This record gives sequence, C-alpha cells and structure tokens, in this order.
Amino acid sequence: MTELSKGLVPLLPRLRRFAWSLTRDWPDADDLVQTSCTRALTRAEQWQNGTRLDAWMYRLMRNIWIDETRKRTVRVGQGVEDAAESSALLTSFDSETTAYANQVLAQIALLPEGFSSVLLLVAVEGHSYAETAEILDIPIGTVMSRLSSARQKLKAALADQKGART
Amino acid sequence: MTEYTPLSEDLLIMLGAYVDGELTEDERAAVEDMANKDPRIAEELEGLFALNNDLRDVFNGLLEKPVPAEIIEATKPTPAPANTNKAPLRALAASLLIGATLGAGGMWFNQASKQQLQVAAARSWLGEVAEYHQIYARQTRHLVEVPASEKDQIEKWLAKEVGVDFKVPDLEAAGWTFQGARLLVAAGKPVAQLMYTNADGAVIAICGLQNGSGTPADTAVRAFGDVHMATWKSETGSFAIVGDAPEELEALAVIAAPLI
Repeated sequence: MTELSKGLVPLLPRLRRFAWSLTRDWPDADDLVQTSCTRALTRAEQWQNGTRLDAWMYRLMRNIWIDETRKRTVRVGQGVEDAAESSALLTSFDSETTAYANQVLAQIALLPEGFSSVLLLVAVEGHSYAETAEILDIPIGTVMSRLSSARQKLKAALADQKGART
Repeated sequence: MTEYTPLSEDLLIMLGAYVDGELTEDERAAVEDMANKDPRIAEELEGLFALNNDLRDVFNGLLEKPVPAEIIEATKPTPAPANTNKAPLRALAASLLIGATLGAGGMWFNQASKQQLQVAAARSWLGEVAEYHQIYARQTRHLVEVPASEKDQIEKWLAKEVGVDFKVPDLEAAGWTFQGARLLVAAGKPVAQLMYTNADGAVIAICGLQNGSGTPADTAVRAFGDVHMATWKSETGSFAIVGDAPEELEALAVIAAPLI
C-alpha cells in the first residue's frame, strides 16, 4: 500500500465530482476517475509526497479527458446546446438529488465545454484563479472570462426557470 | 422575463473577482464604493453571492453519491503476483458488477457461480484485512482517514459506502480508545475499518463489510501469521476484530458485537 494509493481513497468523492464537471456524464466521469487512478499509480514517482494530491490528480484527469475527447468523433457539449436537444443530459441525475439541484446541475451541464470545471474549482472548492489556470492549463484571463460568462448564463437560465414556474 | 441590467463584461468580471476574493484591498474598496452608489451593482453582487451558495449546495450534494467499488479498487496498487487466484476472482467480481449495472440484460451469470464467488470472496477478505492491519497498525501518525471527533459523520459515511448500518462501539471500559476510521477495499468490496488504540500504543481494528449470505455466525478466532482476528456475522454484516492478542480479541468481539 503506497502513500499515493492511501491518499487517493478519501479523495474519490471529489475526484468524481471534478470528473463530472469535465465530462458532465456519470459513466464517463467514473471511467475517467478509474483510468486516472490507475495511471496515477503507475506514475507515483512523479507525485511528491507533501504536494497537493488533489491538484495533481485534477491535472492528470484533465489531460486524460482532453486526449479522450480528441479521440471521440462526437463531442458532447461543444458550444452552447439547445436545452431541448440535450434532454439526455437532464435525465442523468438520480432521484436523491432535489428538484432544484437537478435544475442547476442540468444548466451546468449545458454550459459550453470547460466552463463547469472553472465554476467548481473557483466558486465551490475555493481555488485561486492562478491555481485554476494551472490545473486546467488555460490562461488566467480565460479563467476569468469563462467564470463570468458561466455565471451570467446560469443566473439567466435559473431566473427564466423560476419565471416559467410562477 | 429576466431584467438583468447590461453591465459591461469587464465590470462583471471585476464583480466576480470581488466575490471570489481575488481583488486587492484598494480594488475591493472601489467595488464597495460603486455598489453603494449604484443599486444595480449591489444587486449584481448579491446575485453572484447567492449563485455561489447554490453552486456549493449542488456540487457538495454530489459528494454524497456512493463511490462505485470498481473505482475504489482502482486506487489499490497492482496486487503482488504471488496469489494466482486473486486476479480471476477480481475479474469475476468486476464482471458481476457490470452485470448488475446492466440490469436484466446482464443477468447471464448463473446463481451457482455467484454463490461460489461469495464464498471465495468471504475467505479472502479476511486475508486482505490482515495484510492491511500490518501496514496500518504502524501508521502512528496517519492511523485514520477521518478522526474520532467526527464519529457521527463516520457512521453515516461508512454505512453509505459499505452498505451496512452500524454504530461505533465504545470500548473505553475495556481500555481501547476509538481513534477514527478508514475505508478499505478487500476482495473487491468496500470495507469499513474502525481503529482503536490502548495506553500502550497497541492498535486494533474492527472491520466490517456486507454479509453476502445473510446468515449470522458466532464468534470464531483465526490467525493470519502474526495477526489474529475474532470474526462474527450479523444478518447484514460480516465483522472482524483484528489485532495481536487472540484471547483479548475474542472477549472484545463479545463486547462489540451487540454494540455495533
């Protein structure tokens, strides 16, 4: 049992959540976490004990996912999809999640590729813009513009839903 | 319809940076000044804070989803090649899991082999737990993943991951202090491990996983090299107290079994 492998187990729920933010599909997210853990163990020497394992894993996962999307001919979520065309995405959440949470997740899933991971890292996990840029290998300016654009889109979509219900 | 005032993109990015704590003190003061003067900006900031709260709730809800056993398995280093029976067993366990997720379409696996698998898995989980114990009992600084102070959380977390409802038994009267818990994988199944230490610094662990057969069993003591175990089963769980001194373990098993 290596230090790395011991460190991975408690991180798994967060790794899955990050994987979902990349893939926005649970089966893909689980495949990605599994592949990433296996790959991480073969590269254990590249992780220096004492450095943040979550950020190291996130970078690894992001790279594996980029390779995977390049291999795929059909890319899910490229550009802004029309909500009606993406009904499959809306059904991918389990019934345990509340109705409102489902709506928010569905809207996050509809954001352009690469936006939801920025939201997760900054707004939820509290990574700085600089850390987020490094994890996702994008310029800080892109982090800022994606973040702002994702927030405006979400606010508008959720306000529309609230408006439609009342 | 929404009535979002079209603030400039640059201003929106700056307001976002305010919410994210990315601004310098001067920049923060400037934003606060703007918000005091312009209610649209104050409203935008309020909306951004509210959205952050929603995002945290929703994303944190995802952490509660149980992690599939295949993923937990993928965090284990490749097993040593000595035990030749393990690899096909793992493959079989994986195919069973795939079968289960495929639902009716995946029910090709017959009942007899499934029972055989459960028996084989039951035999090997104890062996794997004994191996783990030799490692973890030496981890004096990193004995547990979740400390004893989070006992309620541990009970919820492990019950969800392992699928067995249980309480952390209080063994203080017998001289063993609860230190916290870990989640392991043995024989391809998630296993809860509760760690205790005594005044001499010795370590024992109570391990539990789902009882595949559903049949209860009385306490039995087994040895795995230097590691000893007292095992028992309830209708829902298979349990083992792991440590060095066999007689004491059996007594502790008798105390712990009704408390768990």
